[in-house]
Amino acid sequence: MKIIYFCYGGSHSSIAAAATHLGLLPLTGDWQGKQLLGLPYFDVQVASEHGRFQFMGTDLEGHQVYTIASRNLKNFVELVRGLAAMFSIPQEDLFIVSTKPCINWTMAVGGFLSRHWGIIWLGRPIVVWGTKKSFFSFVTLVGQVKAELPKTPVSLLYPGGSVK
Amino acid sequence: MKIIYFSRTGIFAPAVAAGIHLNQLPVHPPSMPEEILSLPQFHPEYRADNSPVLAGQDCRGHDIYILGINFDRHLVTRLIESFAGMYDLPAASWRMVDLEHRKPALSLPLVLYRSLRLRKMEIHVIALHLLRVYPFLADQVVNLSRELDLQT
Repeated sequence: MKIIYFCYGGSHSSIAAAATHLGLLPLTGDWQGKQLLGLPYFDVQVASEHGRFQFMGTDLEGHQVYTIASRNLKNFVELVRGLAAMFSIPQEDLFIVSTKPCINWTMAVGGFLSRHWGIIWLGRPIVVWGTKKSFFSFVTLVGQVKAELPKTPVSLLYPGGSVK
Repeated sequence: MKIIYFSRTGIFAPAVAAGIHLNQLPVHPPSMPEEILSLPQFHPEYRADNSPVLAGQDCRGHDIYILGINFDRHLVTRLIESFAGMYDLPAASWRMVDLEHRKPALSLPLVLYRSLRLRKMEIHVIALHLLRVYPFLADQVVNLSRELDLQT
């Protein structure tokens, strides 16, 4: 299954959610700004890249995690689901999650300064601070996503082996 | 192959292009908009939802889709390309045809009818506008058809 986290710019909230999902950030919130800035695609997306699916990694259940910038595209979910239907891809293969509810105003301001106006030296620390403040809403969101995901039998993940 | 006619200005131009492609409309512009208005997408109750809609299958066996996006067409193009890449779909299995044209559809009657929610009148004005850009839409379809013929 492909899990797609999407937000306006595909640079901050969707990356933070995907990183949380993949265990790239400790769920305790005990991480430094450097760790966040070291994540792939964090605060580097430019407008000409919006609309591209970015592969972030594969989770322990074998699901592929992607992020994407949807900007203010209305019915983004319907469009992606429509594409899946057009290409005869089963709808169950897609799990699409908006990370917009996790965005606080500091993330929005910092992200806008860094990505839209290019004032990285000012915007980046603000967006990191905002992400840290909002981190547990990402943890909650990812927890809800994982609870809804179908569980892959261990025998399929580790054929012929066992898990301790 | 899946052929997607799309336009940033809604579903109507793609519907006309698909109509020409599927021989539901003539290649030469009709003198009156009635033929255009007979397409199902021009029914006042028809609602598009920003996802590709199957319009039919052409004589070569290609599926013809229409997509009205009301948004940045470059973003949507990238999204579809990237979606195909994510699933390793061969580039030859789909084709997008951008129907962006220079003549704006916005006119005072259109704005008026839209704001007054006079859907039937609004659609009639759109159909009249599409008659103006009909040669452009027909050219897009004819060029594509020639290309497809050369491939087969």
